[in-house]
Amino acid sequence: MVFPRDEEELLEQLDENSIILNGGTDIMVRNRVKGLNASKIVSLDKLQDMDKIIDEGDAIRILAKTTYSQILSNKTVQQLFPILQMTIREIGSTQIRNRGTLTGNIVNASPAGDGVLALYLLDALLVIRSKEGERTVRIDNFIKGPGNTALEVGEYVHSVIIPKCSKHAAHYFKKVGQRKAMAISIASMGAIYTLKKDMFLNLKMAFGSVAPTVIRADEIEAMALGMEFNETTATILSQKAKQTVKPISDVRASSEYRKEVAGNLVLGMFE
Amino acid sequence: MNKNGINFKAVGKRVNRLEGKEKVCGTSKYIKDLEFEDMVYVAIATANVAHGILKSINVEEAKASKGVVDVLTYEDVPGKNEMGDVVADYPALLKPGDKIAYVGDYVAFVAAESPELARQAAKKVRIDYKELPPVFDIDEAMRDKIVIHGDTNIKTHYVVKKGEYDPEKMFENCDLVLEGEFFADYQEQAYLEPQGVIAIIDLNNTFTVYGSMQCPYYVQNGVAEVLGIPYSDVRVIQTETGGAFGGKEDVPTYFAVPAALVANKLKRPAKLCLDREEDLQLTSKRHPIKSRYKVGVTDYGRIRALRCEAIGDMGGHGTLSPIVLWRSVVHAAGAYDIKNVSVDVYGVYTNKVPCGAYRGFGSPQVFFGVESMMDQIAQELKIDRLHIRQINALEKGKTTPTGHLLNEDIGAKETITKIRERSDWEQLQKEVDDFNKNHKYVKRGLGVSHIHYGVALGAMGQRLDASGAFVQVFKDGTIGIQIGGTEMGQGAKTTMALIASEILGQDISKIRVYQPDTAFVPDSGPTVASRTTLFSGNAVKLACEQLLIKMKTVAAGHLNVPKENIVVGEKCFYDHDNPDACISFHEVAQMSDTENEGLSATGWFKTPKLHWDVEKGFGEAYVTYSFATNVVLVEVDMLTAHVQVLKVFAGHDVGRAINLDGIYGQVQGGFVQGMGYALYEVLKHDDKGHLLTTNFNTLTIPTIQEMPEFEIEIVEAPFSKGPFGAKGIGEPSLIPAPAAIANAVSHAIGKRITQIPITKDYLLKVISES
Ligand SMILES: Cc1cc2nc3c(=O)[nH]c(=O)nc-3n(C[C@H](O)[C@H](O)[C@H](O)COP(=O)(O)OP(=O)(O)OC[C@H]3O[C@@H](n4cnc5c(N)ncnc54)[C@H](O)[C@@H]3O)c2cc1C
Repeated sequence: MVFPRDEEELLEQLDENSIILNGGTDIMVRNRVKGLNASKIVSLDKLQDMDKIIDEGDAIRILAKTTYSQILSNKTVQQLFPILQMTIREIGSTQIRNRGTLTGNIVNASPAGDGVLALYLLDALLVIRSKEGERTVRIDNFIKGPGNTALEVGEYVHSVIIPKCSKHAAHYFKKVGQRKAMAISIASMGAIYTLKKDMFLNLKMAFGSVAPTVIRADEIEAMALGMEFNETTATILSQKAKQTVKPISDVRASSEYRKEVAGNLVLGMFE
Repeated sequence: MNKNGINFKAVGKRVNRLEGKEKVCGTSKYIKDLEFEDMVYVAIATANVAHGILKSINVEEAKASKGVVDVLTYEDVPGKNEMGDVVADYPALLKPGDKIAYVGDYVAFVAAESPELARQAAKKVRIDYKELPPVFDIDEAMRDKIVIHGDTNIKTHYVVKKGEYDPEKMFENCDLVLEGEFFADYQEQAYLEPQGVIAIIDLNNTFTVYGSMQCPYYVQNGVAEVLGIPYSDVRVIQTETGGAFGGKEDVPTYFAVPAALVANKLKRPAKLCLDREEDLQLTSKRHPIKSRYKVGVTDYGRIRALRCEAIGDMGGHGTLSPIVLWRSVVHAAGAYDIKNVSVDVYGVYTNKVPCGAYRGFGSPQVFFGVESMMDQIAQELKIDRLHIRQINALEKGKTTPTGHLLNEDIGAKETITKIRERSDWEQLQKEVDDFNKNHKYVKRGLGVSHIHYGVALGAMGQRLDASGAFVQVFKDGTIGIQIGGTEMGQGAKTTMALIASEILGQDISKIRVYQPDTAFVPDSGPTVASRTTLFSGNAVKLACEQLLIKMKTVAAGHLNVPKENIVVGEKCFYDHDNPDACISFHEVAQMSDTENEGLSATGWFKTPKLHWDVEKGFGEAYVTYSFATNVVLVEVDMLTAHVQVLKVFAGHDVGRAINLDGIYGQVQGGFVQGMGYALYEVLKHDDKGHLLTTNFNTLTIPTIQEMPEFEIEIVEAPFSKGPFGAKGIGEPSLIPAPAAIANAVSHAIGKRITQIPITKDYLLKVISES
């Protein structure tokens, strides 16, 4: 295990045999279950000045080591990104939120990642750095499949950039787990939308745990425009949601359940 | 003075748990904390095939593996190669030609220099076998197309037959007859501390086994038999035990045996501690039980006749199943006064983990069935759900469904009345109706259940139903108590101390209750069946009463009054006629020592004789019964099928509350464990018989977030043979919960729940079926 103190040292350590240890809340579990496929653990523990949230005017930037608890207590996030608050509040427990990070959630690339779902809705950009320099990738282009990302050898996620969205938008999130807390999502849905005269001016909708990655419901988003915020619309979009999602069966729930619930979660948004 | 007008010094007081501080501060020593010099670590190599015939075992690669000291197979078993306390059909180590009955059957024990090395090597044990088609399903097992042991899978069949039990005639005079089918699945005990034991050759050159367990005497017997050595040469000491819930009744023997075999062969201390995954795969669970009910009632709700047929899934070996399923048969007709009863309960082998003891012992599954029927009948007849229980409930002078005439006062009806008052039942129902009118996607529901529970081992377990205690008073006035029952988190030590304190007057802070040790207290049976307060408690009481006579004599001599005049006060003895003439407990202890009085005594309590007809399943099933009533309020998210228990009203007749905080703890903990069964805890297997939910990632048990609000009512209807009237609470705390929760969910969604756990998958299907 190595403990780089600055970015230069960090980049020096990253190679095909290394794995980054951030909050450790995914890695520790993985290590126990199937071991880590790496001979060198690169801990971010001693890395300086990497746990900040920076207001950049038209966006905020969350640096790699920032924990969920830090994000939750940040004023700007509280004011501008309720969806981030709503999703993070449902992650694990206080203990997990005190350690876990958004970048860890991203690179873990689970379809059940709650933080990731918010980032899909917010069209977040990831800043990826390596010795060669920096590149910026949109979240949905970065996550390829369960546990699979566009991260290359020698790269790490430096920060997450979230463009500011309208203050008037409504935010909605609901997660279904096996129990209230400390539960991985079986299905989840989040949305950000604006209504004008009770009609959808815009809608962003994302689902978790119903496909290999978190998904944005493009078709539903397009359909909704101009529709009234009422029960009829709810039923139409709910039906569409059931057709859109492609869930699997696993030990937590069947695909039938997930499909049905995906539709129901849409109904719930209209309550 | 308590509310029944009895003046107790210690009984019923709220006190801190004797061993609480060490547990909270993390200084208690559990089995994992114990190390001995030159110790080896044991890992078990299992068959990993659900059904087959073992042909050969190859341990060469495992033996050559890093850090391995030895690998033991069936040839290393000096005594009987069988385990199991009721049915001994569980080979300690399979030999070629033996039946493989489930994936976890033992093939070899690896001893290595570290637990990791032992585990790695265990994976390298190879077997050659003839694979047979497995049977996993209860109904398929009943058909006997594939037979696992002997010539039928049906290992047990118990009945209860009372009054007219001919299925054709028993329902003749009923106004309404309803039927229902129910399924209650597995439940895992999920104790905090996984199984663990250490076997050493001790100072006496005999074996001492340390371990996390409920029943040291089972371990003693099991180890002696498999090693083929005298019982006197096996001493078992229970270490602090982090929960058990039945899961450490017979099961620790199945780990003590491997450890002892290794210690025996290598003459080195041997430790076997399971990790969570191993524990979940290799240890017993609650029996899945399918039940079919038919209940006939009058138009005003009196039950006339009840028929129940149930089948329990025993898994690959018999172990404790017969007695577990005997409890099912006795409790299947519910806690009611019923004239005509016919119950048949079968136990079948399947190629899965052997099922065994779990808090409630075969009863929560059938109470779920019978109490669902009660709610359904009430609904059909438009009768209040508490009322229908009230008019059918047991009381003095009535007979239980097994024909046991109750000739002492019991608190069954009082638990119902008290819960009706405490919950403000009429108002509560109105509130729920109002809530539901105003909510479309969230619905609330109320559920009721009423149960009885036979305390101790009952008619079929009388052979084991006796307990001992050894109590001594030291010259500094402190007291040492040794019992045969175990503390496993339920608070037994504190209860024993309160009983001693009540008799002798000494403060409980001066009383120590030691870890059980088979070398000092005779076989006291298992710490199960909610029997410890009654059995060990009585034994302690009897021992203390003998000490009291001696101490009173000494006190009388000192105070110069007749010993009949001596009264026990708080930490002292005084003259009844002249309370100022007083001498402290400590001083009497000191004088007794000087006068060579020898302040030690043993107590032995054995079961009152029970008369039982096995053929007919008729008679006195248990020495006494605890009773309970639950009213539960739940909220169901109709869109996601998520259920939350909001509030619980729990009424319990415990005979006498000796350790009041202990009882509250049991009622809360038991309910939440029953709630886990009803709502959250699902065990899944793949099609090869391997458990899929092998840790708490996927096997979700309730957390603090799921804790409902509790309102608890304690009813005290003293049992004449209980210590100060006490019965038992350990299991009755859990048993009513699944039934009440299922009834509440049924009420909320307006459809009948017929299976537990009520998974989201299942519930959403029920909700969406039109
Ligand atoms: C009990 C428990 C409950 C949980 N509940 C939830 C929940 O409700 N919802 C949810 O979404 N998740 C949950 N999780 C999962 C986990 O907490 C989150 O995914 C968390 O965000 C991971 O962050 P971390 O910093 O701990 O990641 P780590 O474990 O340190 O790392 C995770 C992965 O990301 C990589 N990584 C981390 N940071 C970087 C970086 N800056 N650049 C490149 N690679 C990086 C690591 O190499 C590793 O592959 C839970 C976990 C536990 C143990």
